[in-house]
Amino acid sequence: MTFNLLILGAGRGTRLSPLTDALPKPLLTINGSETILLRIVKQFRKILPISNIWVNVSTLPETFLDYLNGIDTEFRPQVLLEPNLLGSANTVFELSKVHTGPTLVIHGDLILSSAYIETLLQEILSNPRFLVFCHSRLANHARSKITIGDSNIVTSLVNASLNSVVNSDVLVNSGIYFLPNLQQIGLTPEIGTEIADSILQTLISSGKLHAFEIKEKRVSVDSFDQLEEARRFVKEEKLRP
Amino acid sequence: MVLPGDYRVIKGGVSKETPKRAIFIDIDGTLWPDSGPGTILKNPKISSEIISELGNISNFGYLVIGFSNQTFFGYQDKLNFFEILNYRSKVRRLTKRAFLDAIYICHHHPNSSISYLRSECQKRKPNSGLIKWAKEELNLELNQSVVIGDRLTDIAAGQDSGITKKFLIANPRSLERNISTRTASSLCFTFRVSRSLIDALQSIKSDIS
Repeated sequence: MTFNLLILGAGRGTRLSPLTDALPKPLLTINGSETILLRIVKQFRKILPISNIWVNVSTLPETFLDYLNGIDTEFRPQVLLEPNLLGSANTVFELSKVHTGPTLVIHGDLILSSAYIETLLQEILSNPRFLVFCHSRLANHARSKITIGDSNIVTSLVNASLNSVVNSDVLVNSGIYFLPNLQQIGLTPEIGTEIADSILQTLISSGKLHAFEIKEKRVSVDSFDQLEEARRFVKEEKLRP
Repeated sequence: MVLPGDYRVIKGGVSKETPKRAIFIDIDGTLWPDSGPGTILKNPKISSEIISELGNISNFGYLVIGFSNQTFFGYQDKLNFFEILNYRSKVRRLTKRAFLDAIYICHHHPNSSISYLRSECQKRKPNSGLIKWAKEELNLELNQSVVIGDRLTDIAAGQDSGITKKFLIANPRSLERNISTRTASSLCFTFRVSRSLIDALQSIKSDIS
């Protein structure tokens, strides 16, 4: 099985301003001159059987295209250019107009270990189904909480701030989704809605969404601290034999 | 002699019988550097590498078609008969110079000072009229075809006509003016980024092999 990789790179990255005032977040460097985007592309290209790589672009599009122009064809993703930010649910919907096969969706600010991606691949190939990848986190630090029932079928995915603060681990959304068939999702999302609020909720309602917990290391670059953490992590991983 | 709002040249011997795929190539800024309205009249140079690649890509079963908004005449106060003849002669010669099987041109502009060229023409990019015109005349399979251009308007024209494989030769002017351009069927534009026409043609060949 080969599949598409969709990297979500259109966000404004406001939490990393002023770094992101002139540079889209996926283009922040993480290891010397290597950007977050290039790291994702190279890692996934190396490990996964990918036919096409896409990135959606909306913020600072000229800068983004100029960057893509400069990287090797082998690692250059195709572009979904959104003149107005669509929201990730609509980006997936737009992609389904040009591609219907299996698609892995990943937020363009994630730094993953190679072991993480290998685990993810094994899970997809062993049983291809609608999947949200998740990890364990203290409930009072979690932004989204996943509850699961029998056979790891997701029963709810809610904003954690709606729940009482509990000092124990919960499952949270990792920002990586596997969609075996885009047309089976069967909805037209409203502009501005995110995957978690739209596509995943539809799949949960029909009992089709499964969760898989990955314990390997990941960093989501959504603050200055996390950016530094990501850089340390990449450096350490590079030094590992 | 009246300059029609649209103009096309088809090279002799191009078969219209069997369905075939095509590569639509924008002219100014893609085939050669854009030096403003009427670039073609200034005898722009086409690099030998481009000429070689264009000759080569025909062997992969594509018709190679130039498509262009040419508003040069529309910017003038009145038309010059000899300039029109000269222009047409250069367009005809271009089919031979650059191994193009056909060239489709729209001369309309919504703000033209020549009244009969002043129009919101459906052939003018980002509209897809030029591509659809070529499809009808040359029996093209657009879902197997390709668009290459240096502006988002080229991508929009391709997308609106149902062409899925599109290459944007990105430069600082690619998104100028057109960033809000949308097609009726889509909220975004899908394309690959290329450094040059040669880069795009090589990608097409590499996809086939």
